[in-house]
Amino acid sequence: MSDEAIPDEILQRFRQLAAERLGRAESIWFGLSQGTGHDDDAPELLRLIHTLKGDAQMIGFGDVELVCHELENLMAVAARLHYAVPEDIDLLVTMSFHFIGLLARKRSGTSVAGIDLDGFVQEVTAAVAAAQPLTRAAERNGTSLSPTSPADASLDQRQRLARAAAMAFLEHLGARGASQQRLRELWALLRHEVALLSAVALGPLVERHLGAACELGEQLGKLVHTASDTRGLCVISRVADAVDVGLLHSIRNAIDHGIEPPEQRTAAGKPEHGTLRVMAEATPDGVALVVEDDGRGLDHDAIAHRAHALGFIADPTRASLAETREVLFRAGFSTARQTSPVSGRGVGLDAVRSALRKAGGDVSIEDRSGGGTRVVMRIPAPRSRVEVLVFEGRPGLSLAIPGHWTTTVLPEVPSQVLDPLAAFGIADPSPTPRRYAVSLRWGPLHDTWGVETLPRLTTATRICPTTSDDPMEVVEVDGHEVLALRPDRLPNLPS
Amino acid sequence: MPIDFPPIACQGFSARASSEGDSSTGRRATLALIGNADESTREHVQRAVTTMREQAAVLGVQEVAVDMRELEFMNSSCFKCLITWLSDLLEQPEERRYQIRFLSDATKHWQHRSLRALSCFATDLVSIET
Repeated sequence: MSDEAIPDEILQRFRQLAAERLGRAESIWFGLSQGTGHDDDAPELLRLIHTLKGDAQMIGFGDVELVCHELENLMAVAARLHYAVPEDIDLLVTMSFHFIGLLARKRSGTSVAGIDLDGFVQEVTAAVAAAQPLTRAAERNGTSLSPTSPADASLDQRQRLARAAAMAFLEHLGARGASQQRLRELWALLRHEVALLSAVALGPLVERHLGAACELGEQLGKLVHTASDTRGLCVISRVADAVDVGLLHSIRNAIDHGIEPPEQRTAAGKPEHGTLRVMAEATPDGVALVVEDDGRGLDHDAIAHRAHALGFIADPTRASLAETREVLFRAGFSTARQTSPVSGRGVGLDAVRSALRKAGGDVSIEDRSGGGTRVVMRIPAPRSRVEVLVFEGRPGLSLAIPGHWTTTVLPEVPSQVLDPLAAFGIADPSPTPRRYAVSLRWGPLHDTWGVETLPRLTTATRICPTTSDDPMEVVEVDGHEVLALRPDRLPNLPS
Repeated sequence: MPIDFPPIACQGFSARASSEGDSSTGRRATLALIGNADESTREHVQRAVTTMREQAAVLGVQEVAVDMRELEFMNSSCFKCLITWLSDLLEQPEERRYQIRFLSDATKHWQHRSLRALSCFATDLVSIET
């Protein structure tokens, strides 16, 4: 959203508050990173950033919101390190403060061509990833703080719950009769809770944006009917931000560029109220979220000429419809749209596409049959897949281990081979010699297990992900729930 | 008009500056940072950067080259001087802005990462040479 679309006093207030919050946040950060701050300062710092992010989202400064989000990621790392952060994290935090200040102060019409927001996000992502061994070491040494951001709290809670779920599943494998049934029900209950914690409901998200769309329509003198049907569907939390920005962008574009003023609609034989619909439906791969309007639709000719002027298309007269649609996802093209009075202030559709593709989804734009535009976001199902080696550990009982372990079948079954479940105290009800002995190896780690079937490499779905420090989690292989063990996390593994 | 930049040298850190060209050919300035820029030398680093900022404005330069090839290390506290410099430059009207060209040493990993992130502020004003 540009300055003209927001009343001056609101814009000034936002900038003033942003400057105050940034000043205070930078001061707290300096104290914490220098070791002179107080424990109480950290929550205030997080609140300041989170509030600034919320303000930015509300007022339509998507780029400020994005950098705040990255700053929260940096803060999560810093908290785990007790704010004794590496130099590059400290620098990126400081740069983020300056970046946010710069973006919040930016006036419409001034050039933003030189700002490489995606590049900065990539730098933050790389730094956060590079700091992970440090945070793990801090956690192992017991120097980690409790998670402080809501996202971290949720992740931590989910992982603890997943660990409990895996334990319930393990116990049910060793139980018999009614006890086994009760433990299975407990496992199912915990699995369901983990799934809920991993998901964000689309309904409230969509309603919030449609509410803002109506206000925007009023400001622009447009009459808009909105409708939504999200069918109670959820999306995975790690793409929720991308979906949020995608909704923001596509709904604003629909109001600003798509739906015509009432007099134009009437002259074109349309109802004076435009219609904006957001619909979600389950697909085999996840969720398809559609934002469609009955406005003037994409002006392919104008897009092609603009794309040509920007160097994206060689010959505008020969550009196909598919090409002109695709150019809307080009970063430079999004930036050029900043001249619009409403749309384009936030991160572009290119950023939305990038985020969704990273998670295995995508976004596309289509011409709506009967006039108007459809933006279709394909959001992956809340699951991820991993390679595993699956085998029967005991007769009729499938187990799995991570696919990166190598296995060698020994020519003879030694008298002493490990029954991995016995390591958890799950007694074998009918102990018989195993059919095969398999040597497992991963780097310097090795072990020999007795198994009933030879391991085969396959793909499993993670349904209750635990952390890599946990000895087990439950996965789905060919539609069956299987206990996946991490041999390196089992007790007494020789190396 | 030559650049007014008294050389700075202290505790393993030094800075010197030069300028060339004139108003007809375009003025360029170079700031060379050498040694180690850490907490003990932060004030001197700050003075070097501040003086260069002032001189760049006085001389109306088109470009400042910041030569970091002999800079072994710069801690985040010192690097913040560069962030502030660039932030302030971006607040200036376009006619008063100038290019900043960092001359870096590719073998110094910290330079690569820090400068790459810094350049995201203004890819049209900042360039990095190795």
